Amino acid sequence: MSQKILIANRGEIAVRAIRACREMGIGTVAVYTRADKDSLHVKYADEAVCIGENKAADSYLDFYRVLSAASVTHADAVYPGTGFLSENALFSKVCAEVGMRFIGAPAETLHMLGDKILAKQAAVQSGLPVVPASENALADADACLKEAERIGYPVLLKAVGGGGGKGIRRVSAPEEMKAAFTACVNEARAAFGSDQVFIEKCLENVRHVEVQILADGFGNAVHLFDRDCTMQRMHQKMIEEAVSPFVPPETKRRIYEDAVRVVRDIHYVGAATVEFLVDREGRYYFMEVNPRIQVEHPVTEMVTGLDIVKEQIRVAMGEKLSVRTPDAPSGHAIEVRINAEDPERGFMSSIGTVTGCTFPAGTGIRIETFIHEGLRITPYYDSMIAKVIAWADTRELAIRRMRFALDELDIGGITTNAKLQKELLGTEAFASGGSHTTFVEEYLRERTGGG
Amino acid sequence: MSLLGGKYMKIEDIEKLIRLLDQSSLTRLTYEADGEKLKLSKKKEYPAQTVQAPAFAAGVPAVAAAAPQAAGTAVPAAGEAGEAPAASVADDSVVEVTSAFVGTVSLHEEGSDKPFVTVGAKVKKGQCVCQIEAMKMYNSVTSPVSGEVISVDVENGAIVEFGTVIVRIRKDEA
Repeated sequence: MSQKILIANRGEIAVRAIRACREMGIGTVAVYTRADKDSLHVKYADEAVCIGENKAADSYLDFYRVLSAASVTHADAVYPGTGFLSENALFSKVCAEVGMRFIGAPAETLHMLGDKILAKQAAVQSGLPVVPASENALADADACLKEAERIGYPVLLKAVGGGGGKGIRRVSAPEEMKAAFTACVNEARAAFGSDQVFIEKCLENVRHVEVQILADGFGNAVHLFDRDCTMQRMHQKMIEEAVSPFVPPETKRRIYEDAVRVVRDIHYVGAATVEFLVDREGRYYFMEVNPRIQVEHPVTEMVTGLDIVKEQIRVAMGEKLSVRTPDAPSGHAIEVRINAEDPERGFMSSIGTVTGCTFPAGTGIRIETFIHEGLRITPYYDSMIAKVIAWADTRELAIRRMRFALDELDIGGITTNAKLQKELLGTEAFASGGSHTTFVEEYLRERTGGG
Repeated sequence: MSLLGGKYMKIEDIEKLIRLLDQSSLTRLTYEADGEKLKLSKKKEYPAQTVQAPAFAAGVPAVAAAAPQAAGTAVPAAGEAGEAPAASVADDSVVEVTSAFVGTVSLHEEGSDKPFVTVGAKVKKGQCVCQIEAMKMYNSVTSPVSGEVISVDVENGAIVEFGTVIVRIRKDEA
């Protein structure tokens, strides 16, 4: 087992990982930038090393800086969390080369799953239904037009190396193609350093349902049920729940089987999430495999009583899975992402010093955060500052509990999306399952249009 | 498999490494793979390298290892050096040279007892004041100004992080 793990991340996920390590008796090293020096992950880790400038490219994303910190502190493993280096194939490879254990997938797996076309091929080979799409990367707008004609509008233009909702453009008619192609290529180049795009049928009125998988190096792979992340804005998840209340049991059974099979077929080791889109008729389509911990993992932990991060660390150390799929999920859990942003001003990032900070508490409430009174929220990183998770026996009570929790939440000095989130939880579409992946955007358009 | 992709180093790979070394602030590089070892070093320090931490965005709190405009924190130390009790004067004339990397400080040139700099020594802009090693890579820390070393703030072999003050230099009057 590892003696000391360097947490190559920041924010709430770094705090989450430190807590898991503590309970396992593993030492922790935090890395940070000047902007993050007062963050809770720096305070809670056993050791902390300032690694660079505030810009992520010169700090959290810089292999050499991260590995130098691991080296001088004698850490024997690196936990990448979400984002940053978590899906970076080259980083995984460099870790292997220098003898540092990477608590994530090996380079070949990350390379394959990070390439949307290769990932889809793997899913097809495992017999999973996939969204109709172009088979190869498309070089220009003309090639895109030809493919779109074959697949049928509306279509989505997507960056081959994309993720996190970036590098995606919806095209509803041929005349929009040229501008969308240019925009997509530019965004892909800036965000992922690759300008390859492909085209995919745009499914409308669908839910985002994903399956949590854990797998070890002994051929064991289990699912931990599903999560429903239909409440999104611009492909960024806002509210997640476990398990989805709106997918029929028979469809779920098949989705779970498919998710386990694809992960097993690629000999995956660790935590992974297999994402699907599910339509009103119960048809489902494979989207992608995320080879890392997900932001929304706590809702699964709440309904299974399991610790996904600890399990991730165990299997990365070569141990066998210590968990199996429970008989049934217990109760219902909802996660709300609290972002430092102003929904009334185009979701502009809110920057400033946290002047007061009261988090909700009580039965069934869990908070994941790195902030505290006096902390300065800077513009350098993701705007998410906290996750509020509410668990209850029933979904109805979980929603009520969450709405009261958001009333209790009081963060001064900056603006957050908490009020909007409470409003969304109160919509009929959220309550009854009438929502779909673009519901929030439509709701916001109507809301501003009406006001 | 080696980082460069092949079992044995090819001449193109070595050329690639040399180019990388040239363009970097590194002065030495040891590369080892599949039983092959390559040691490269640069004679001259890379003059353009400035490790002085640049100014931060307004409002982001400056930490102890300060940029020039925040050098107020360095005043007591400068005062202890026995000169310029008038703080405001000391502020502008003393520059803290900080580490841009995480690693182990080497105050001496490799294989020699001769330190790069000592208190009282004159340094030129771009001159190496120490090297920081991590993962067998050596990065030079160079002085952003010409002046006199008034303190060496780290011990040989110390582990430093980004922003750690290495030496303080009193700038030459322009």
